[in-house]
Order: sequence, then structure tokens, then C-alpha cells
Amino acid sequence: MIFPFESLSDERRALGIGVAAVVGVAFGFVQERTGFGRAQKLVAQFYGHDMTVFKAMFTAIVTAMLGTVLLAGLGLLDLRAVEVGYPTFLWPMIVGGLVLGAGFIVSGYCPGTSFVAAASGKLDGLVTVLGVVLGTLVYAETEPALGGFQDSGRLGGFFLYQWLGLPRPLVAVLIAVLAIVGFVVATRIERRFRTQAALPGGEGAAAGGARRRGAVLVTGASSGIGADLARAFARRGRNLVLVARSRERLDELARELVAVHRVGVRVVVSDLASPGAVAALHAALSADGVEVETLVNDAGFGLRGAFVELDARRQGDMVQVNVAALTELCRVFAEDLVRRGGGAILNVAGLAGVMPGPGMAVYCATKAYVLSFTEALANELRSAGILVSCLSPGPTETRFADAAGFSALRLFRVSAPMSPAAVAEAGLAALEQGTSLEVPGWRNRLLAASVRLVPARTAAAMARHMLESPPSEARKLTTA
Amino acid sequence: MERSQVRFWNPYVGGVALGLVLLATYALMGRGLGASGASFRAGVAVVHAIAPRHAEATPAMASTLEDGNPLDDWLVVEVLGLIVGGFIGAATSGRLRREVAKGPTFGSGRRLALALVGGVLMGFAAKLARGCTSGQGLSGGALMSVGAWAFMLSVFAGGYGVAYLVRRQWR
Repeated sequence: MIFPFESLSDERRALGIGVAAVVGVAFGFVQERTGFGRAQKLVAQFYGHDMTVFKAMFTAIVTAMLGTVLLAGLGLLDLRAVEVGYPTFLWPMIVGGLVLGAGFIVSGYCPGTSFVAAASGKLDGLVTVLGVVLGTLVYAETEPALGGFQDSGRLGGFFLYQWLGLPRPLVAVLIAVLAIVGFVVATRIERRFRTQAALPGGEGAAAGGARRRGAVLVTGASSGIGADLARAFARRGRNLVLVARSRERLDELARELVAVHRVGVRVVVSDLASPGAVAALHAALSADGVEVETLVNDAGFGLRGAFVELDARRQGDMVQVNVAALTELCRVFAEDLVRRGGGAILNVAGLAGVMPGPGMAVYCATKAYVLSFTEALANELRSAGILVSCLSPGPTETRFADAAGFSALRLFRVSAPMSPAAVAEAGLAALEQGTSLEVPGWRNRLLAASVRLVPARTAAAMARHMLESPPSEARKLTTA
Repeated sequence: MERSQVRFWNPYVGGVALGLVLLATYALMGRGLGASGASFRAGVAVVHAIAPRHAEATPAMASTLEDGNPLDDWLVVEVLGLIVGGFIGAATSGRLRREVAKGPTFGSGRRLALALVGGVLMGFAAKLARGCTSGQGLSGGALMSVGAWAFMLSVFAGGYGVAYLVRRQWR
């Protein structure tokens, strides 16, 4: 203790005032930068969707606690002298805590943070500051009427390590470990509530902020993973906008979803290979007042064959659908989501995106684009409250795989194909848990991870092998 | 157009910084940080200026008047610093803006009324508990005071208990 303020006089006192001011400025600056000057951020911990304040508060306690143990151990700090200022009066502290907690959520601040809020121009912060002053005076006036309650539960200087009968450093470490467990739990809670806020109708809807029941737009919904994604959202009571080229198959799926899940379904026939399709789709939905709150980009197709031999126009269409349309869809709908302050985007890439694919060069490259683009988007839009996930399935038993001639590949034999329904569920789980990249199936995860360990050249050679059909199958393909 | 704002710090970075400020305060001042104590001293100063006899006759106020001017205290200086620090933080991050923090669908008048009510509750509670979230929860908590931990758990219990009732002001 270098500046025990009260006993100081003259020059040392002036120094003490200087230290108090510097400490105060640091205290205020750190609080502002951590978000303590913003009521929405402070109260968010009580609604579960942003535990920043909880994490920062307990990190601060653990840091200072370990620091005191360390400094005391080095003989740089007289802890007993500091502890004297913190006697325990159990009952008024418990009741005071309950009332302060209630005041915290009502005002949006605690007494210290209300100063920071007022200093950054928040009128409600300033009013809270005045309220606190008033409240302390109310206490002073009514204290005699409390009948000594304020001094009840008097335990004097009583500390956790004394209560537990353990050495102080050990208790400090135990509390630090508990805090880390608390942080892990807090992060889980955040993910859960953020998702529920983004996916309307979740259990957290009541506490999660403004709720609209916006629709889920699924492209490529006519079959395969897209159709099963639509089914999975319908199972959760979500209204749907189904987009694909085939009206017949869309109508069929729409009838099924309406009958089984009693959700609202809208069918939009659109060929995303034509450049104006996305703008037309967005305009049509806006004109009818359809609010898309979750965008699912599943539309896409693959072509197999030598790069120079495949039809150049079809290759161009593939880039248009897999890359350009997906980007444009994300753009127009993300703008709406940002404006409304929440929502979700799920892009379907594929294991093909993790490696260069000889024989499917353009297709693999389009999927690499989706992987990279989506990961960046997830990072960018997180602060806007928009969840973005990439679903990157491996071999899946779909019409898509058959159409592209994938089913015959070696890849489909070493890596047991998954059902589209299982892949779709994995995609929704990724959104619900806030995972930015979901590779369903352990074989696929292993493959994706191992590709990352080898040079791109080797990966391309590996891919070439996996993307070849064994000779007998190749014959079948050519005759089919 | 709103000016772009500097992002908030990662909560763990902010927490470590806050912890180090607190640690420095223990080491340099022989005590922890605080906030509501300064609020009380400001209130006592006002009451003392208006009705000196009443202030001196009220036990809780009299104890802060014993040493002379109630504002002549390190905590008052610390809180003035806190205000300056908060201002600097907001001014250099694009967050300095006159506004009422609330959800878009809630009226400003009602929000300010709730801010006042909550403030009064907290002022009373902080006096009863011998400190607020800063002076008791943070500073006492890091010293492992049993009372401070009981206080802090109660703050969370109180907050969660009432959160649902006032959710509309954040929507």
C-alpha cells in the first residue's frame, strides 16, 4: 500500500489524488471499450444472448485475484491490510444484491457503468446516475427504520479460503477453473439463444427481442438435400419459400409440407442460371410482403469431364448458379437481414470445395468459393446478429449425384454416402449451434482434415484418384 | 449516416485489462475500486448545502461529514476519472452520441422513468450491501470475501428474477 489516502497529507496526498484519477480514467476507458457503457449489452447477459459482461466481469475478478495472490507471495502487497476494508455482513449483502440486481435490469446499468454511459451521451445513463444518488439518500433517511438489519449476519473479515479451510492460492486456482467452466457454459447459452433469436418460434423467442415469423427461402428445393432442408425447417414450424426450376416437383413438395406440418409454403419457379433471376425473385417477394428471415442456398449443379471437352456454356451456367447467383442472393437478402437486425444464412458447399478436383475442375472451384465466401460472411455478419453457416456434405444419395455421374466414383465407395435427410439435419444443427462450417459424417471430416495436411498438388492427385470411376463402372456410365 | 464504431474488445481482453486496473488499485491505494460511494458523497454534499442540520443529524450522512467536505475523498476523484475515461473511450470509438439506449419499440419517456426507478433501487441496495457491483462485487470478489460472493450471486439472481418483466424496453 503506497498511498493510503486518508492518512496522507500534503505532497503525498496530491500524488494519491493523481493515482486515483489515473486509476479512474483507466477504469472508465476499459469499461467503455468492453461495452459496459451500453445498456443493451449489459442487460443481454440476463437474456442469455450475449454474455460479454458476465465473461468480462469474472475474467477481471480472476485476473485480480490471481494477481493479489502473486503479489502477496512476492511480498509486494499486504493483503491483510486490503482485506480489512471488506467485512462480510451476510444478510444485508444478500438482500442488497437481490435489490441491486433488480435495479440493474430495470435501469440497464449498475452504478459504475451508469457513469460510463452518461459520459458517452446516454441520457438514460445520466438519469440512472441521478437515481443512484437519490437511492443512497433514501437509504440514509430510512436507515434508522431498518432496525439494525444492515448490520445482521456480521461475520467480520471472512474469506472463501477461510470458510473452505484451504490455502488461499489453491482456492484462487479453483475459482479460476470454475470461471473457465462458467465461460464455456456461457458460450453455449449464447449460441442457443442467438439461434433462437434468429430462428423465430424457438423457445427463447419470448426473451430474445423483436420476433417476426419470417420465412425460410430454400433454393434448389425440388429434390435431394434442398428438399430435406425444407422438410427440416417445416418440422420446426417455419413457413417456406421454395425455389427451383421444376414447378411440378415443387408443388408436390409444397403439398406434402402443408399437409404434414401445417406451415405456409410458397412456390417460386426460377432458373438461377439466367442472370436476372435473383433480382426478379427478390422483387416479387418484396412486392408481396414476404419477409425472408433465413436464406438457404442449396441450388447448384456439377459437371464431370475434362475441362476442355465439357460444354463451355454449361460450364458458364455452373459458375452462374453455384457462384454468381449464390453471391447475389446473399447480397440482397443479407441487406434485408442487417436492416431488420437478425436472421440466418445457410450455404451448401460440398467436400469438393476442400480440394482441387481434376475431372471436375470448375465444379470443385465453385465449391471452394462457397466455403471461403461463407466463412468470411459468417465473421462479418456475426456482429449484426446474423448467423451464417456453411454445410459441406460429402457423398450423398441424391438425384444430383446421379445427374452429375458422381454415384459411380471411387469416393462414393470409400466414403459411405449419407442420406440427404441426415445431411439436412446436420445443416440445421450447425445453424442452431452457431457453427460456421459443418461437415457431416466422421469419414468426411477425416477426409477434409487430411486434405489440408498435404500440398495442393498432392491433394489434386488424391482427388483425381477418388473422382475416377473404377473401370467396370465407367463402362456402365458411358452406356447409360 | 452513422459514423462507424470501433468494435468492442473481446470480453476476455477487457476482463484482463479491468483486472489489472483493479490489481494496480489494490497495490497502490490499499483498497479496491468503487462507484456508488461517490454517488452517495455527491448526494450528501447537496443535502448538506441545502439543509446542513438535517444532514448532520442523519447518522449515515454524518459519518461522511466528520472528515469535512464529503467530496474530499479518493473515491470521488476516482469516479471523476471514471467519467473522463468513459468519455475518452466513447469519443475515440465513435460511440459518443446523445441518445436513449433502448429497444426500437419502447418509448423514450418510459425508458427514462425505468432508468430512474432502477437507479433508486440500486442506490438503496448499494448502501445496504456496503458497495455496488464495483466496490463490493468486483473488488470484494477478487479478495474472495464471502459477503462479496453472496452479494454477486444475489445480483444475478435478482437480475434474472426481474428480466422477463422488463424485456419490452429492450425490444
